[in-house]
Amino acid sequence: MRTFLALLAHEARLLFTWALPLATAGSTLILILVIETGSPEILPLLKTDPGLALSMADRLVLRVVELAAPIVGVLAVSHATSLDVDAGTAELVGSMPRWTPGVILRRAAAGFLMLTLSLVFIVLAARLVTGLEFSLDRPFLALPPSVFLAGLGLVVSAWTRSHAAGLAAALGLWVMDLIRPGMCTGPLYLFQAGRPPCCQTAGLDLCPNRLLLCAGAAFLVALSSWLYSRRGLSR
Amino acid sequence: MNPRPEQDDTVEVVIDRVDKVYPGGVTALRGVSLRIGRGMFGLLGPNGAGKTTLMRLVAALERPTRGEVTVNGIPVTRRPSWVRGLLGYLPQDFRAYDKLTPREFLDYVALLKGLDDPRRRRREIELLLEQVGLGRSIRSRIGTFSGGMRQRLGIAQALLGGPPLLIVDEPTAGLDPEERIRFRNLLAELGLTRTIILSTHVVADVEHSCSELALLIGGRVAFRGTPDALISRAVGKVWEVEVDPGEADRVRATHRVVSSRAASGGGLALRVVGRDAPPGGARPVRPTLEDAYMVLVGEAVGFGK
Repeated sequence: MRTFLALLAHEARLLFTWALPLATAGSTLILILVIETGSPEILPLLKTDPGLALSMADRLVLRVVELAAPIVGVLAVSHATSLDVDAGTAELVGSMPRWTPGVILRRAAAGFLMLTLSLVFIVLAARLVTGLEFSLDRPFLALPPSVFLAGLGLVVSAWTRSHAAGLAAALGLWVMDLIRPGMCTGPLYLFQAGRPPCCQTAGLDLCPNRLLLCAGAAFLVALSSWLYSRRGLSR
Repeated sequence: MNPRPEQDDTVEVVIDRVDKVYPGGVTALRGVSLRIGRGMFGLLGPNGAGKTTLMRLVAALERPTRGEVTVNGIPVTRRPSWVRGLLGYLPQDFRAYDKLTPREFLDYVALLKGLDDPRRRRREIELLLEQVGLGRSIRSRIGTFSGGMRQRLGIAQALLGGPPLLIVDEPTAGLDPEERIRFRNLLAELGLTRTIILSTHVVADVEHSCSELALLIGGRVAFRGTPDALISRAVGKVWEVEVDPGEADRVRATHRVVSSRAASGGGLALRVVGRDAPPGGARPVRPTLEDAYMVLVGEAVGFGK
């Protein structure tokens, strides 16, 4: 366990880029501004119908977090497979006795940990600054689509050995699903949790959808670590 | 999990009739057979001779197209993790993560090598950084290192964990003469108790530290034996001759020039290798390992330019 944590800390150090805190800070700022703009509608309702007011606030927060979290997630994780190609260390890492696919599994774990911490920061900071007591756990519904997109970025980076290609694939799907929810993803739709029920397209209920996204992300991470180890050996 | 095998300093690498053909039809190795035991084994050869491919096969980074590589009788392709557990590897183009410090980098490598005890890791890292002369740069980022410092870090990571099999590909590239000699001596010392495969272009590195060597040319083993045996192959094929500058090209057309310098009489003093003596009063000289290397390369690909 101690060894795993030491490796995890090194992987997090390798994955860290300044784009990550910048995206987190930017997302926090946007969330605060959105809440401040929506407050005139929500705050009067708190006195008459607090349940409805908080539900509206939750939806507002989730919509922003659903947009922000995938960017943070993709920034945190998608370069895990291309890192060694960019740094020129692929051959060295490939010559180590520890299980090679484990490198990507650990990096994905470190990246998802950084994503979760960023999300905690965004939500807590927004709640503290605005004073609006929206739900603390509901924004985390945005995690499954974020890890799914990050997993897609990982696979494409491992396949093409290019971080730019991984970023383009993950963010491309993100934009497509923003414009036409569910068009490319079907039951794996990414951005409906924050929409009012009348705007939601037909598909799976939210809970199975999020579970499916988590399973999809796990599959993509496993696939990327396999691709990473295979491509590392067959150069 | 500790992926390191039982510590056994006696490692024998056997390369048995190995061919390596890359996708696209490029043949890197043809029927290479070598037996490498304890001590320092030099691998010499011109660019594209297949040295790096051979190193990568032993390090379980590639699979042979035909033939087999075994370490202590165990095929590398069957138990790659076990072989890597015995291995310290310095790739030809060694690079490290620029954002890390040398201590962080070596700690990461040590963990990947299966050194799970943090105290042992710390002790070993500090010792190695001192040994390769990076003790004062322990807190600097690798991104700020010069080429020589990076190469020394590469050597340190290869030595982590005291591996019984060391594979070092062009280890002295980028080192100044003093560092080169220091590293050569360090390798020779380590070679007393372990197996070291040293691939290099620098004939002097092999001459001063290896008890055995192989010369690869065009993916084939052109010679295998001791440095003295290689030198004896060149006896009667090395000459010194003084020529006018205008005549140098005529000599180059039939011989390989090992060195040239200005002669006292205004001409050029050439040291050349070839099947026969060049015209113009050439006198035979005692060959060095570098001459012998040039003779064998010349015999394989032709002496003329």
